[in-house]
Amino acid sequence: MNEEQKKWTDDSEMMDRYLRGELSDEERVRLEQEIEGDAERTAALRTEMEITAGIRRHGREQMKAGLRTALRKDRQAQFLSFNYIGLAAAVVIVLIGVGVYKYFFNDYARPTSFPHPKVYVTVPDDTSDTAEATADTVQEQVKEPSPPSPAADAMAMKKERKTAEVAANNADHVPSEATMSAAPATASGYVAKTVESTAAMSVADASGSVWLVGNVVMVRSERVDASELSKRSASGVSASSEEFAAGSSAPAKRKIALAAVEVRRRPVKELPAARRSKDAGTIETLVERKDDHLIVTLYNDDVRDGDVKEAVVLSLGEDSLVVSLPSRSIGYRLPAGWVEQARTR
Amino acid sequence: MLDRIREGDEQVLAELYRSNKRSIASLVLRNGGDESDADDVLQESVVILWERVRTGRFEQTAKLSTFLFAVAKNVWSRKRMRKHREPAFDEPDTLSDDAHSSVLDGMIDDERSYHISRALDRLGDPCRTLLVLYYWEERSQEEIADTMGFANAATVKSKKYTCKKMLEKILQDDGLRTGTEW
Repeated sequence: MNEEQKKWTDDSEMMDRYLRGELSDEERVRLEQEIEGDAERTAALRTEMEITAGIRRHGREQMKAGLRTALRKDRQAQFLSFNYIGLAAAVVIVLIGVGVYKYFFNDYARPTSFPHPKVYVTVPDDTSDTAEATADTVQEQVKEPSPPSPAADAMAMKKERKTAEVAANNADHVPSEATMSAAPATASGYVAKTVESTAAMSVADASGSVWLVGNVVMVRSERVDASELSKRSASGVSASSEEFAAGSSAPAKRKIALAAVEVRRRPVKELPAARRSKDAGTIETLVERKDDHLIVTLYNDDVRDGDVKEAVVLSLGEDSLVVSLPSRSIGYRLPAGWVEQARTR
Repeated sequence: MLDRIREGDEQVLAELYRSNKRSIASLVLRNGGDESDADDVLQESVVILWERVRTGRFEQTAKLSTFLFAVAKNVWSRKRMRKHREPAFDEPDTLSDDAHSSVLDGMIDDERSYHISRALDRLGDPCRTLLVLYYWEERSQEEIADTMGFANAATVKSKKYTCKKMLEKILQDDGLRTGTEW
């Protein structure tokens, strides 16, 4: 082997070119002939091959590591994007739920599924001036019923009164003559009649307060006869003649004194204009339902504060009560369950 | 996609991985491998394709997916033999002595290359990068000079020689005999 051939195999650059396939055919054949049969040069070539293989393996491992990092970042980005999408979807669902609740459930004091009774207005002719003077005050007082909740009850405690529309007090409801004539007359001259409750009364019940027209069924200094009572029957308030008879001997069990009722009075001028009644024999009354008692506010200028302090409230049944004042007794028909509440104390 | 590989766009690797994952994973799982094996085979197959294209040794005669599947099959066959001392897929166990020797040689070679790869890690940069660019990516010395900021190709040649000697020294210190039989 000549010096030139030995130089080739001793030249690492030639070996590198050989392993990279960069030698020409002639050069490759020459180098292979040099290696063939030469154990030392064969070993040298093998060493070069191993090192090259190791370096290539290292390069592949580096690239695989880079690929794993890129895939991991992609998975993290996907995970985050799914999280963001899921979070956004959850927010949308919550907002929809809140909207549905507020629209359908939270505000059912303003029901749309059953008739909303009209507010009947009876403006007495002789109080027109007063009505105009207090129009602003009345306007503030006329409001829709509050929703049935503890918060609504708290709101009812404020000075502003909630106006509930009660069809039972509708001036249009007049008992038929047949009914009146069929009712038995008693020694006291009163007649009994009943009134059917309406859907409007249910609305008022839900609101926690109700406007009622109390019929003065007995004045201490006089008795009201049947004909007079019929004129006062516009509100449809039931009045049992037996129970309202002065010094009535009616069984005590039918008259239950209600301790959980607070009686108040306010002047007529504080009444909302829509509540002004023409009938002098009636008293506009606001009955408010609290946690465990009732507040009955009489809007009447004849009832004095002293009378209210001596008031006794009696129940005649499940839905009737009588406010008995020193000067008069006033009967009311309450929504179902309200009288029961007055007995809770 | 081949053009992107030639341009050095490494994002291609992830795309090739995702698009061929199902078929190659199925191959490995049906032939005694698990999810980890499938993942490793797929990564190596993709990188081998990258290497072949980058070094100009790839000739496209079929779809890339077909090529990758063939590569994956070979890669898993070697791994399986080393892992389980078993023949490759469904081949009858009639290996001759020569075949067993080649399997053993393959295992030895693989072990050696592993040690050389670890020695490169210890060698560090710039030698490691230079040697990888030259021997794995088969870049020209001029290209390496541009990439790594050397003065010229002659400097790269000299530096490459020095780095190889240092690598051989590390291997000798580790007791790894090279170029000789066990």
